[in-house]
Amino acid sequence: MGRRSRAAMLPTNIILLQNLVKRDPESYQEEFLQQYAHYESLRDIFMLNGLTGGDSSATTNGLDLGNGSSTMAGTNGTTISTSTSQLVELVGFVSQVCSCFPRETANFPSELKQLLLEHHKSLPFELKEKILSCLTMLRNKDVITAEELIQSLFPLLVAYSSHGNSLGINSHAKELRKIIYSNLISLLKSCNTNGKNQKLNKSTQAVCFNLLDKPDSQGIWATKLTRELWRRGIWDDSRTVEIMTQAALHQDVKIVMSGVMFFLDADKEREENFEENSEDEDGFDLDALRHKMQVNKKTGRRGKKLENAIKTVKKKKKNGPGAPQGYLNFSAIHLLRDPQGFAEKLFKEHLSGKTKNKFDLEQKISLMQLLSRLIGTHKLIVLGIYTFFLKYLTPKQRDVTKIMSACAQACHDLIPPEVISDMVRKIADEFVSDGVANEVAAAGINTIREICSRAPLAIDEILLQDLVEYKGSKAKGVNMAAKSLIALYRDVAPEMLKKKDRGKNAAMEVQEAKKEGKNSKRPQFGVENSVQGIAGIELLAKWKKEHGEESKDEDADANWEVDANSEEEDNIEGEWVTMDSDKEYDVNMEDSDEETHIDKDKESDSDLELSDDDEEKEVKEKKENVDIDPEAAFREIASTRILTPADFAKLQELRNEESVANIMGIHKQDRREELVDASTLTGPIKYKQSREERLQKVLEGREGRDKFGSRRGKRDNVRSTTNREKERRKNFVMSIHKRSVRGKQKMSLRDKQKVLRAHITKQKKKGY
Amino acid sequence: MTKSRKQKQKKQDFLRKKLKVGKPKEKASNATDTSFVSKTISIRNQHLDQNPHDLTKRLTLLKHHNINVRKETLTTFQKSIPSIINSRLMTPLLTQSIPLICDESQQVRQGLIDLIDEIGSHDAQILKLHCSIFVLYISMAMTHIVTQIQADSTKFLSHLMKYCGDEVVRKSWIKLLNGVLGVLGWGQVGKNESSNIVQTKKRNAKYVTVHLNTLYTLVECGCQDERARGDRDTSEFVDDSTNLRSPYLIPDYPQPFEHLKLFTRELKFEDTASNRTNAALLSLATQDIDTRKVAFSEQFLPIVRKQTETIIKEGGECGKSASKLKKLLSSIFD
Repeated sequence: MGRRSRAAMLPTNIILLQNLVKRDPESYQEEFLQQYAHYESLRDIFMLNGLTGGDSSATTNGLDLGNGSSTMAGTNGTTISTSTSQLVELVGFVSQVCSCFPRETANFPSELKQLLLEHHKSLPFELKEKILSCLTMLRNKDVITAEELIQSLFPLLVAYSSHGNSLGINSHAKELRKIIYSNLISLLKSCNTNGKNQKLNKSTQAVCFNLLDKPDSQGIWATKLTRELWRRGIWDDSRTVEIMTQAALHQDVKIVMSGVMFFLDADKEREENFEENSEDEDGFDLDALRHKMQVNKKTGRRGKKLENAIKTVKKKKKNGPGAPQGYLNFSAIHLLRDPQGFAEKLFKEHLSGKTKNKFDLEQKISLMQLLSRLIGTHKLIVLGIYTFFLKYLTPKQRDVTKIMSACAQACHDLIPPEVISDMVRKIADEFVSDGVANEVAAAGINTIREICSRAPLAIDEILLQDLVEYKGSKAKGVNMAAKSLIALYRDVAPEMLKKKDRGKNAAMEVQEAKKEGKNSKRPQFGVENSVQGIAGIELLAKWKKEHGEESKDEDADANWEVDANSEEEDNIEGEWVTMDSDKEYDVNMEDSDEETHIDKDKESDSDLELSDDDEEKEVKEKKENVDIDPEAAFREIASTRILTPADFAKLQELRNEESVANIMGIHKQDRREELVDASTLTGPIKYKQSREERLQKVLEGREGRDKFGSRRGKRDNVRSTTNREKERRKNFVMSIHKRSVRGKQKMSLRDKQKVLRAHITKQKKKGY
Repeated sequence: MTKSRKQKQKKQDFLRKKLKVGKPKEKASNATDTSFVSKTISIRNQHLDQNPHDLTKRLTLLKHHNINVRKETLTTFQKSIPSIINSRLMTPLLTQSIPLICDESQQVRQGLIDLIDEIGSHDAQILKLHCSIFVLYISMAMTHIVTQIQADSTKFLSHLMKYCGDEVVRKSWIKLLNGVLGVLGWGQVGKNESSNIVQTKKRNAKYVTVHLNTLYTLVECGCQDERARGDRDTSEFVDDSTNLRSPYLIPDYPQPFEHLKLFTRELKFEDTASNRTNAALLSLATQDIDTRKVAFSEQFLPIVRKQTETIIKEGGECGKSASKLKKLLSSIFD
């Protein structure tokens, strides 16, 4: 019975058979074997003659009777197409069902691979495409491993990326590359979805390394692949970065640029990628923050600005649920294994060596940008680069602002000031003089300011004071630039400025320092002032101070348990805590003591008992500049009390707030990783607009304001002229002799006025 | 009163343009610019038909989508075989027509058989030269999913055996045996028969007879030496001394060392021995009778015997063929 019903479904084509075999591999084994044999014989035929046009064309050439050859070639093509379609169909069939018969088809994957790898030049495109997709399918069915697949994909990718005549015209190289590349990416992605597949990653990276070892341009695929995978966050370890390091040091220009652009852009790309993917909710208390900001100052614009700022902060902080598992948000430059060596080699081989001419200016600029960013981030010392910059620092140089921003980024406080001062001097000479355009001068001063903010000792007093003189410039950009330079040195080393430029606070500080007869806080080379302890602790200290009195009675336990059982215990437990609260209470007392101290200080300025820290604090309080020396704050807080989780939560919140403030341009702190934007160096430039531009702007302003504009000439429905219009258009000579008109001349002034007023109101009422 | 611009324009349309001496005629307003710039201009060659009866042109018609055209072409070639048998046309003709073994139409296949017969009767050497392609396509047809093509495949084989049986069995003994047994449905796996075999077996015994006869000739060619076959007169001359000398003489068949596979393109197999004995056998060189005999008796003899018994019991045409086969087997292997 079963047999009959089975026979009733006689498979007449491959697709049907595939369906049947998949459902019941046992019963259709015979058919499958038959088709497998069919595939084998087709394959053999293909190997024998269909594979190359070579055989049959040889016979045709032998034949070549007059005009026979062209017709024969045509025939040949059709032969290939029919047998190919059959083979394509069968290959698809076998690979679909071969997981049902693993024993019989053990050789199948390797056959496919051999066909593809050894005969890919002579295979028709459709077949290659099919084999590729079948191999991917086999990988998905776990018939072959991912490593095997990659090993067969990579050589093909390389083979088809070679330019020149080695490939035929119809080799479909581009399509194949596209297919292979996307296959590679999706393969690596799927292998890395649930936890990283380190083995596969390592082997693939090894292949990439090998590709980059060769001197030809095949390595471009390695860089392309790596960049894509980095963008998707699939590869994010230092090995990946090492691949790109090797690429950046390659001989081939294309590969070098690919590597360089990776370091310059890749992180941004990656962040953008993840931003698109995920829009999660806040990591900090957004509403409270907004409330606080709005309480301080109430303007709608400010509120909007705040909101935007919060958004960007959120984007920056994002590494949560949107990102894949185990995703590390380190930027590529931070993951470098040997930044100093890398920077030195990069400079030696690409910028200063004999081969420097192979890069054009734009590429050189990107190289400079990368180098300077490396130097800035890791505080490396590559002294050659500063003299190298000198050559390019002239106003006539193309893209000079980019080079200048690179200059600024390449400076940091560990570089001997005399090295940088050459550069500063050159910029001042070339850019800042009376004979140059405003933008040029502004760019020069701004660049010097950026350099000095990183390495304050790079400029000498005389030059600084000269530059500062530009604060009286009529040009806004130059003016602003000079003022910002002053502001910088008021903070950093007020002694270097002239007395009148120091400003009130700085001047007082200097005076006091002199009075005490001790050294000013003028920066010195080699003396590092790094932040130690807990980041943002000074914010906490300040907050404590402000809210000290209110929160003094707060119980300690509540602080230790932040989220668990929040409100009720807060209310109840307040009274009966003994041990911890004792300690805490002491501390709080100290805090409030300090508070009172400071209050006292405000009254009596010269209290010599005060410590340095307090003095500083006091000065800054006066400035109303929200700044407390982090080191002092750390010492103060960490030595006196144990930070509770509640404190840390508060700390986090404060830090969020501060980074918001940072973005809003209130003040900036760490300049090390900050990039200098080339476009802002010149300051605001305002060119005169053309008439069209002006008109466009005016019209833009009128959009959506129909209600307020004149309705003249905009009557909607079609009509004949009104009496009024007729009257208005009437010939002047005809109406001038009318009595009503003549009488107007004899009217008294007051009457005239009345009439006019009445007329105006009437017109307004009518809507004209 | 002045006329409006529109009116003036209207009038201008109907004014006759005056021709001026020394100036080219003005182009009409609706003239289309047909000039173009190109680096090269390719002009198609003119085909002047030099030889209207040139048969090379008809080769393409073997691929024609119309069944009748294909059949007609085959018959045309068949008719002209005597004139072209020694020309260079034969190779392309065969390479083009052999794929028709797998043609959907029964008529075309029949036409091809006739063509093969015609060629064979004129010069069997030509068939021998293309033997390997023949075998490939026949074995492909034997596993074809369309039952009719599969059933006809043995016909081709038997016709081919007529002219170059020796060559065929020497080159692809195991492969063809596998194929024929597959067509007969005497599967090697043995668990169950393939469904279309089940159907054909019941419906037309005619095909089974053909299969059996083909198997008979195959076994006869492969396992019986020439003397026993007795169909050649040369056997009288063959004495022991020639047998001894023959390895050192130039062999009388083309490509004697082909089985060494020195110049063939082939995919390498990594682990043939481990999974299938059949695959190992496929790569086995079956140049001489003894090897063929051993291979047959080891691999196929039991199942062939078993199946022939059952068919003999059923009787009819098939029974006759089967009993013939049985006799042959007993004469060779017992």
